[in-house]
Parts: sequence; structure tokens; C-alpha cells
Amino acid sequence: MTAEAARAAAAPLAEARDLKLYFHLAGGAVLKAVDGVSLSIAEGRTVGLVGESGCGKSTTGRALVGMYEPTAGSVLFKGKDIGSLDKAERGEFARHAQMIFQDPYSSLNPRMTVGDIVGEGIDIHRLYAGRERMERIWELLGLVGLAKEHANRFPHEFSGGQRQRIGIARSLAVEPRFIVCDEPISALDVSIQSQIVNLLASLQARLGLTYLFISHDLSMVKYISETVCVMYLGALAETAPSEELYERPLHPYTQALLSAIPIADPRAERARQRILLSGDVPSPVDPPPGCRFAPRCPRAMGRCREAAPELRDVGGGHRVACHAVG
Amino acid sequence: MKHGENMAGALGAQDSPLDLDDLGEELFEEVPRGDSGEADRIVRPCLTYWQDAWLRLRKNKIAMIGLGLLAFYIIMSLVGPLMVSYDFRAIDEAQMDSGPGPLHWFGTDTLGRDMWARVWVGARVSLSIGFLAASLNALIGVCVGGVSGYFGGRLDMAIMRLIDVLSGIPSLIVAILVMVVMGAGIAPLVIAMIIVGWVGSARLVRGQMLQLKNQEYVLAARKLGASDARIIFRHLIPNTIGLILTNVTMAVPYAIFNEAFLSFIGLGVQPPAASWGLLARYGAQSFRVAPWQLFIPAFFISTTMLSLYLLGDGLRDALDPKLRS
Amino acid sequence: MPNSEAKGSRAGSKLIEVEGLRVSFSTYGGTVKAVRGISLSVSKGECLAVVGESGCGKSVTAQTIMRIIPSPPAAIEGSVRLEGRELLTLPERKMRSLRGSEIGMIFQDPMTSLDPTMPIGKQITEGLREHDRSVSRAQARERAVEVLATVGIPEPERQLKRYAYEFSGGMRQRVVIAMAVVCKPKLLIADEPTTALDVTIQAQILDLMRSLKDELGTAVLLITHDMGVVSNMADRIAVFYAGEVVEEGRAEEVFESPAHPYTAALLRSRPRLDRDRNQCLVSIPGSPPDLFAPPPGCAFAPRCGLALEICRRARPAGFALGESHAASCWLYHAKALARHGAPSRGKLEMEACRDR
Repeated sequence: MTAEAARAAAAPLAEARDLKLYFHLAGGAVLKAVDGVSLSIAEGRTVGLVGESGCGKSTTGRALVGMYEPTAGSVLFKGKDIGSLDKAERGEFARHAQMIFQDPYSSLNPRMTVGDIVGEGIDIHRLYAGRERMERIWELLGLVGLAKEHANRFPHEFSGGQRQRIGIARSLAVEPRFIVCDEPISALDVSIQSQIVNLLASLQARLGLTYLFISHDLSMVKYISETVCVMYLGALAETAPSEELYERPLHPYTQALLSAIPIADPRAERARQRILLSGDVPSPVDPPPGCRFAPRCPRAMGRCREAAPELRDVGGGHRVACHAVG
Repeated sequence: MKHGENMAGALGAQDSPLDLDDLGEELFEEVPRGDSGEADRIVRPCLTYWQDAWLRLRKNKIAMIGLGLLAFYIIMSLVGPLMVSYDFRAIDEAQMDSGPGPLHWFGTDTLGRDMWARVWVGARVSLSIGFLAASLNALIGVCVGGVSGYFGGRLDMAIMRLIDVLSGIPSLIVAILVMVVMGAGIAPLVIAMIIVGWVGSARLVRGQMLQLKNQEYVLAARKLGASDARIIFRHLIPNTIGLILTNVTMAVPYAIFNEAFLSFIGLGVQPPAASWGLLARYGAQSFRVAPWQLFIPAFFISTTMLSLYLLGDGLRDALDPKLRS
Repeated sequence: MPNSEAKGSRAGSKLIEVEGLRVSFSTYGGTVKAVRGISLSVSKGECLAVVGESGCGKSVTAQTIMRIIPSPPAAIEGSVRLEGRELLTLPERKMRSLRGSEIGMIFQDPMTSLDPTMPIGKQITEGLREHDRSVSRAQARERAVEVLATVGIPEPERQLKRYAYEFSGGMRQRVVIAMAVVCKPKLLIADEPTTALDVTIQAQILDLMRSLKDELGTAVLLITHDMGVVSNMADRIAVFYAGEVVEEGRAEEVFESPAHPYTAALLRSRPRLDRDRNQCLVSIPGSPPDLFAPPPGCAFAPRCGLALEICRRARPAGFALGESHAASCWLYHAKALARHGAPSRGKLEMEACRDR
């Protein structure tokens, strides 16, 4: 193996290093959607990115597939900064990093047949033609649990769960390595959510895919991911292997988040002691200095309002950004 | 309550033909689970966008009346003049200003020309100019509005300012200017109508583009590597066609009215050609003596406009993708 | 009904009784049978959770109770009684005076319940004075401040003048709750009240709703698809599927011993935070039936791994499983029980859990 190949094999498949995405709004305000996020996703693994609305998780996901250019920091794919790729490598990256969208009702063109939707990637990159193209489309439909006959139908004839499966088949058509799943199940019914999650897991096992699973649903994220990253208002609060995060949450926000999630068991649920956060989730426009969570944090100290904490390693792959910890 | 006892009423009534007091044992056999393909099967037949729209339109009685009336007028414009032996230009001094009767179904005008023939020949001109102008306006509007909305940025701003300026100019002034430069007639008339007329559909298409280009399926196509051209032609335009069609249908009555108005004031269609506007012009001149000469073309102008509006309304509902179930 | 006949029932008399409700809508594509014969009841001071996924008819049921469904094009049959009074035939005038004063409603999206052009204080005082003409403006204002404080809005006097868009999602929902409880209604219907909210805000709102229920003794009809929210708030649960009630019982009963295969699958299709990653996530194959043409037998039979022959032929009636627990499933018919025995929870879940 050459030195470069060895380096590529050792490096995580996708990585964000001190990623910053700032948007300038009318009137001069700055929306700091992502403010210094570093995370890495190893090949064949699933990393979950969880947080509430406005925390920047979707923006981070889109930056990782190249849909947004970083304001500062870098996005790496197979060890290389995607900003420095040449045209051919850029094309390869665009194929290998795909995305699954949230809303099954607006992520499929209502005027195209399912077959054409799934085959769009094939057509754009001219991977197959004629009979082979149809067979590949049928194969993809079969992979996600749909039938050949569905290829001639239109999206509006399908349920939300089926549409989401069509969207998955579409992104698989270009043979990606890395898929960012941006809230893929939030718009689906509960019993269908598990269909899609189980499908994603089986596809990962079959095709060796790597996922970044973005959601506000911590239970689902914990279930599907090996590692979970918790984001709050543009910054990472805590990251740890899933079980570890649940058993030993260290950041006060993670603790409040876990405490807020109701458990489907009346006796256990009513016996719980809840940590209730006061106030609302603030807006990421022109945030105050210091730790983003300080205004709502039950353990905020003076230091928290002056300087934002760094993400520090506390062992076992567990990292926390909090002055009150460690 | 005994375990297993039937509690009809608590959880809903039953309405099956089986005799519930005497259910056979074989009914309680387990059924082997079919493949989930059965559960995924789509029961209803496949309808394309246009088939679905047509079904919906058909249920809208008012829109169908509009469509029917329009179709009738179009057919009559082709067939009508052939139904009488008079040529629409033929002057008959013996029959000047005669009212509607068995010889001349719509009466005659001041020069004794048969009104029936003139109305239907005029229909050809008015309807064709109306549809032509509206279609050209839509075409230009789609191109300009589409480009403006899709690419955004400074191009969009420049085009929008141009549109703002053009919409501030009264169309009558423009028509007069064009006529002054080019002389009166059908071609200058159409040109006058489209110079400023494309602005409405441009705004509409631009708005639609702005909305559509952020739809997730457009983002998905881009992520798959689609070029701008592909996105515009395969994704954006097909989803705008419904809107454009409705817009054209609603723009035709306006174009017909414009033509009628300009011909009425002498700037549009010139004799010996006939159009409804021109007929109305002559009819107004002899209004006291022969009121039908004005009423009849006016009637056709207004009913045509009305039927197009009704049809357009129905089309808007029928083509709206959000209303598909 | 099992609940009211049960001896020593704590809940007391019934506030709302729905019997044999059927609601259909005629559309250009045919008739949608949204609600196909449901019966349920809510007792004073209790919280009944109506659980189901989209299209199961739960929202339509709630809206029918409130009579906010325009009746053509909808066809409504059956009976809805509030403390014995039939609501479906009540003249609109009388229904209007009921809404807000005896029955309050909270919807999922606070922006559709709040008038964007009116300050929130005015919306609350108007609601108050509409139902009680004797209340003066000053009294109404005081009461509005009081109720805003009760729902946890800081500095309520200042907030009276503000408009809905000036509040965040969670605060808006609190304002909606304030409007719904200001006249101290006997029943509060909450249709997915926290679905659109972030989870930490959801916890705050659920907490608020529970304390209001305890303080005011209001009965709550909670409509949701989230089993976690249900276990937080509900005394009793009714599980809806394809326009019917498939299971009904006390919260503990339904969670601990779900009887209907759909309920069991639903409970198993969400991962539990307190279980490890190897927990089996049930996914029910297929989709809910098309309500334009619902199947002749049990609506869940096409997707059910335990279906019997009779399930495809006839709609099951409700079978009692205990004092307050009932399930609409042929598996609990005497002959099925004699032949196969009562299905164990493991069997219920295993049959539905195919993909793992």
C-alpha cells in the first residue's frame, strides 16, 4: 500500500475541522449557524448528530456533503480538504457524498415517474443505458423494498414511508460511500419510522455505507448510531459512544435533554425526576460571548459567560465542552 | 364481564354478513402471512398529471360551461360564415340597417353587410389575436421570469427594475406610439400588445421559480450533479406549466379586450378585415338607429371573456399539484 | 362501557360520551370514511389519550366533538353527549357558547389558533367576555393577567399588548393554553399540543398541562402519536387505527399488556432510551389502508402476522379483557382463545418483528 493510500485508509471517511458557517443577514446581523464544530466519521460507521431547532445540525450536514462552503475551518473527505480538490476529484466527491432529505412530500419531483427519479443519478453520470439502466433501476427499487411495477408510478401515489424509500434509492443510484441523513424520519409515522431505520441499517451492512444521522430525536439517534454528538446553538456540547452518553451524560444540556425525553412506560415516567430548563431555545443570531448554554444552564458560573469552553477529552471517546466538568 | 365475551357497542359496530352467533371453526385458522408486497400494492389506477387534471376539471360544472361556450364559439368562427350565402364584405344597399330576421339572422350594418357572417369572421380575428398575444406574452414571460428567478442576484434585480418601469407605462400610450411608428394594422397591434404585456407572466413565473428552486427535489438533483439546464428543463418548467397554462387562459380575455378597445378607437384592425372591436366601432356610430349592431359584438366579447375567466379559474384548481390526493 | 360500570371507579360520572360515531367526507376522488364507528368516553378529571398515526381519524373525532367540521361536505352519524346533552344536534348558537366555556381546544400549531392581528391580551379578554357578559373590562384584564401567570409567562401585564409573532413557539403554545383554560372548561381537547415543539420545551408544556389538570380538575382528551407523551399524561388510552378504536384501557394495562397486535407493534416500534442498541425495533410492513375503500374485515389484517381467516371476512367487535381493558380483535373471541390460547406479548411482538 502506498503511503498516501495508507493515510487515506487510516483517516476517517468524512471530517469537519473547526467548521464555521456564518450567514450575513439583512441589516448587518450575523447568523452563526455553525461555530467551530469538529467531528469525524469513520468508514462503515454511523455518527449521530442531535440537537434542537436552530442548533446548526442540518447546516453541518450540508457542509459535509459540499452543499455549503465553510466560512472558516475545513471539511475533509478521505483525508483531503474538499476545498482543494481538482475538478475530477470534486466530481468524484460529489457522487460519493450523498444526502437523504427530510420531507418525503417535497423531496420528489411530482411530475417525474419513480423510475426517472431513481434513475436521475444514472442519467446524469451516464452509468448505464437502455435495458441495463432499467434493470439497475429495478435493482435499486428492490434494495429498498419496492416493486418493479412502482417504477411507472408517480410520487403522489405513494405513502410517506414509501416516498422516503424512493429518495433513498435515488441517492444509492450513484453508488455513494457516505450519506448524510438529514432528519429522514421526522415527517413519518411512528411505525414507518422503524421501517426506514431498519432499512438504513440493513443497507449499511450490505453496501458498507457510512452515515451521519441527523435528528432531534435522541432515542432514535442513540439506537442507530455508534457515536452521538450533541449540538447546541452552533457548537458541540458533548460527544460520546451512544451507551456512554446515556449512562454518563456530563454536559448539563445533555442531562436536561435526556431528562426531557418521555419514556413509554407510565410507571417509570411518572416516577422520574425531571430537569426542567427555563426559558426558550435562543436564536443563533448575534449570540452573546461565552458558553452558548450559559443563559439556561442550571450550573452556570461567572467564567461561563466570559469564555466559551473547549471540547475536552475525558476518556473512552467521550468529549465535553463545559467549564463545570473536568 | 366474562373473558372473551362479545362487547358490541363498546368498540364499534359490526356490519358483516357472517352469522356472528354461529361462527365456524375454520374461520379461526391462522392465515399464513402473505408477502408485504400485498400490503404495498397500489389499488388505484395510475393517472398522469394531465389525466388527473382533466378529471378534476370535468367535475367543475362552471368551468365546463366556460369551456363549452368557448369551444362553441371557436367552431362557429370556422363554420358560421359558411352557413349563410353572404360574403362578409358584400354590400347590399337594399338591406341597410335591417334588424335581425329570417334573411339576416343578426341583421345588417349600415352598408347592408350581413352581421352573422361579420360576427363569425370577426371572431376568427379577435380570438386568434387574443390567443396569439397571450401566448407570446407567456413565452417571453417564461423566458425572462425563469432566468431572472432561477439565477437571482444582480441579473434578477436588473430585470425586476425593468419590469417595474414597463408596468408603469400605460399600455394605451405604447399602442399609440407603435401605431405611429409602424402604422395601423394587425401586426403592429400584436406587437403593441406584447411589448408591455409579458410583464405579468414574467412576474408570475419568477415567483414560481423562486419558490421551486429551494424545493428539496431541486436540491437533491443538484446534489446528484444535475446541470442548471437539466434542473430548469426537467424539474422547474414541468412544475410551472400548470401555472403558465392557467395564466395564458386568464390572459386571453385581456388580450381580446385590448384588441377590441384598440380597434374601437381605430388603432387596431383596419377595414376591410373585421374584428369584434371594429364591429363595435361601427355599431356605436349607428347606435340610435340600429342598436343591435353594437349589442351583438359586445355580447360576444363579454361572453367570450367570461367563459375564459371561468375556464381559467377551473384550470387553476385542476392543475394545482397540491390538490391532488 | 366497562369503565363506568366498574365498581369503585374513582373517576366518577362521565363527562363526554361518544357512541357509534361515523364521519365520511365526499371528495372528487370518492368518499373517504375517516371515522368508521367509534365509541369512547372521558370521565370528569381524567385524561384520555387517543393514540394513532396519521389518517387514523383521531383529529377528525376531536373536531367532530367540537363541531368544527362543516357538515356538508362531511356526513356525520352517531352521538356525542356532553354530560348527557347531545351535541351533534345542538344549534350552532348554543354550540358556540359551549366552545371555550365548557370545552376548550388546543391545536398543534399555535399560529393557527392565535389571531396575528390582535394583541394576545385582547384575544383572551374577548374570549372571556364573549362567554360571560357580566365581566367588566377591568375584571377581564385582571383575569387575563392571572391566567398568563398560571401558564408560566413572565411579566404578564407587559405581555398583554404583544402580538403572537413576538413570542417563541413554546411561549405561543402557553398563550394558546391560557386562552383555552381561561373560562375554566370542563374538558380540554389537546390535538398534538407538543408535536411541533422542541423536546425540552415539550417537557415544560406537558408539565404545565398536568399541573393545570390537577389544579382545575379539567378532563383532558389528548390526541397524539407519541407514546412517551401518552405515558406522561394519560390515565386511560384509546388506540385508533383506520378510523376505529382497536384497543382501550387504563394506561398501565395497555402499556404493560397490550392486547391488539397493532398496539404491541406500536409500542415496540420506538426505541427506548433506557434499552441498549440491540433492542429489536418492530416495523409493521405495508401502510394503513386506503380509507376510500377500507377492507371488509379487520382493517389491520393485511399487515398482521397473527391474522385468522375470519379477520379478513368480518370486522371484530370489542372483546373485554378485564374490568377496563378491551380490544377489537378476533384473537380474543371465545373460539380463537379455545383454539390458540391468548397471545402472549412475546408472540405479539415477534410476529410483527420481521425485519430483524
